[in-house]
Amino acid sequence: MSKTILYSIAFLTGFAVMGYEILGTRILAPVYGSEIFVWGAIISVFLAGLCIGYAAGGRIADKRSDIHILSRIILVPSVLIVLTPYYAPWMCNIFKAMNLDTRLGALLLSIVLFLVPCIFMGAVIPIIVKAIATNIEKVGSSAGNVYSISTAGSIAGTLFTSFYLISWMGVLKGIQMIGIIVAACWFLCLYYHYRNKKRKGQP
Amino acid sequence: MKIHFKLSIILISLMLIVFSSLGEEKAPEAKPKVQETGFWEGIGNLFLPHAEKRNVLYEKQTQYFLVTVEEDSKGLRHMVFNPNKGSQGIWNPKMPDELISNYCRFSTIFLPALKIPPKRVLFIGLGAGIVPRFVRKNFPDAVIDIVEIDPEITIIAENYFGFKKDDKIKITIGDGRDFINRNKEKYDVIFIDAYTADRIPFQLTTIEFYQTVRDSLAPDGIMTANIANLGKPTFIASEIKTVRSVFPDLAVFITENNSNYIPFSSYGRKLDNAELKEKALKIEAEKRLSLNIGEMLDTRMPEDEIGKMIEKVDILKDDFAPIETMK
Repeated sequence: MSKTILYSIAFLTGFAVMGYEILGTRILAPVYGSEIFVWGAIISVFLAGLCIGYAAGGRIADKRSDIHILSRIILVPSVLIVLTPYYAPWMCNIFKAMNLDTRLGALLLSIVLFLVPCIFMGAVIPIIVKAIATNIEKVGSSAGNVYSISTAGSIAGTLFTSFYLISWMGVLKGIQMIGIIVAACWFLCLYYHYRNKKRKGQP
Repeated sequence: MKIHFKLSIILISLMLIVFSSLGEEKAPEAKPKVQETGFWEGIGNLFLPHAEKRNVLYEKQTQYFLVTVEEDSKGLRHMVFNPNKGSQGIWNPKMPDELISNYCRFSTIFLPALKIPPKRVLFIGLGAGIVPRFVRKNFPDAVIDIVEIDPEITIIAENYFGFKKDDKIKITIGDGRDFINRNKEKYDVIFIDAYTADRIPFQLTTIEFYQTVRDSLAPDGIMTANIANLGKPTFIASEIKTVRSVFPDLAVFITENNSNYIPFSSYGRKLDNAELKEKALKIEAEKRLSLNIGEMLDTRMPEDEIGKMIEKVDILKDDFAPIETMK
C-alpha cells in the first residue's frame, strides 16, 4: 500500500514537471518570442534543475528517506508553482525592462522562474527509490520502476498540458492546476503519515 | 574499468566529429532541377490536367521550415514553406516590381492613408521581401526595419527574390514579439505578416502584442496585418476582435476569393473610403503605378458585418490564446 502512494507521488511529480515546462514556454514567449533559443533555454533549465535535484535528493535519501522529509521537499515546489501566476508576470516585466540579449535573457528568466521548483521535484525521485528499495537484491527493479512511472507521468503531463490544459484553462490557471497536482502529492504524504500513526497507535 | 572509460571517450569524440561534419554542408547552387513526381502523384496528375509542374530551384531545411523556391510554368518564383502549403511570396524575375500575390497587392492600401511620406517603416516577417522592395522603390529615403525569425529566409529572399539590402535597411533576426518589446523607435507604417500555414506564433496574435505595436506607432502611423484564410474562421474572427480592441477604428479588407483578411488602421483616425479612393488615384498617378487601389478599397467589410463576425468570439490574450484548437 505504501508503495502505491510512493509510486503515485513519482507519477504526479513527473506529470507536474513536464506540464510546468510546457506552460513555461508560454510564459516566456510574450517576453522573448518562440525562437529556438527560448525552447532551448527552458528545456536546459528544467534538466539542470532535475540534475541538481537528483544528486541532492540522493544525498538526503542516504540520511533519511521517511515520509516527513518527502512531504517537506514536496511542499516547496507546490507552494512555488501555485504562486507562479502571481510573481511570473511581474518578473517578466522586470526582464522586459532589463533589455538583455535574447539568449541570455531567456536563460536567466527560466532560471529565476523554474530552477528551484525543478530541483525539489527532482529530489523527490531518489528519496522514493530509497524508500521502496528495501531489498538490496532488488534495488535495480525498484529504481527502474520509479523512473519508469515518473517518466510515464511526464508523458501524461506533456500530452495533457499541450493537448488540453492550455486551450482549456489558459496559461496562468493551467500553472495553478499543476501546482495543485503537486500539492496533492503533499496531501498524499500527510494522509500516509496519519494513517501510519493511527496504525501504530493500535495495540 | 579504465578500458571502458577510454572506449566511451573515443565513442563520444567520434560522435562529435560526425556531428560537426554534418554541419558543414554547403548550400547547393542555383541549378534548376525538375521536381520528381512520385508514382501516385503521377497518376493523380493524369486526372488533374491543371496540376502544374514546377521546377524546384532551391530547397533548404531551415531551423523552422522546409523552404523551397519553385518556378512555375509562367516563370514566376514562389517561396514555399513546407511542401503544399501555398506560397509565402511570388516574384516575377522579368518584372521585378510587379506585385502578384493578393497580400502584396493589398498591402499597398497604406499609400493613400499616409499623411506624409514615411520616415521609418517596420516589417514583422520578411517572406520573399516583395513589400519591402515596393516601399524602398517608392520611398527611397525611408528607413526600413525588418524582423525575421529565420536567418535563412533573408538569404533566400536576396538570392532568389531580388531583395536588396542597403544601408537604410536593417534586418534583425529574431522573434517579432522580442523586437517590439525592446523597440524604442516610432514607426510610420508597421506591416505584420508573421502567420504561416504551419506556424502561427501565439505571442504575435494577442492583445498585449497589438498594444505594444500601437505604442510603437508614430502619430498618424499605420498598422496593417495579413491573416491568411486557412479555413479557421474562429481564429480570424478572434484575431480581428483582438486587433479591433486595440485599434477601434479598424478597417478590414478581404482579398479575392477570401484568401486573406487585411486588418488596417491608422491609429486614432477614422478612415473614410471615398477620401482614400481620391487620394489613391492621385498617388498612383504621381508615382506612375497601376495598382487599382480603389478596387481594393471596395472590398472593405461593412462595420455591421465585422460586428456580427466578432460577436461570439473571445479576445486573444497572452494568458489565453488557444489558436491551435480554434476551428
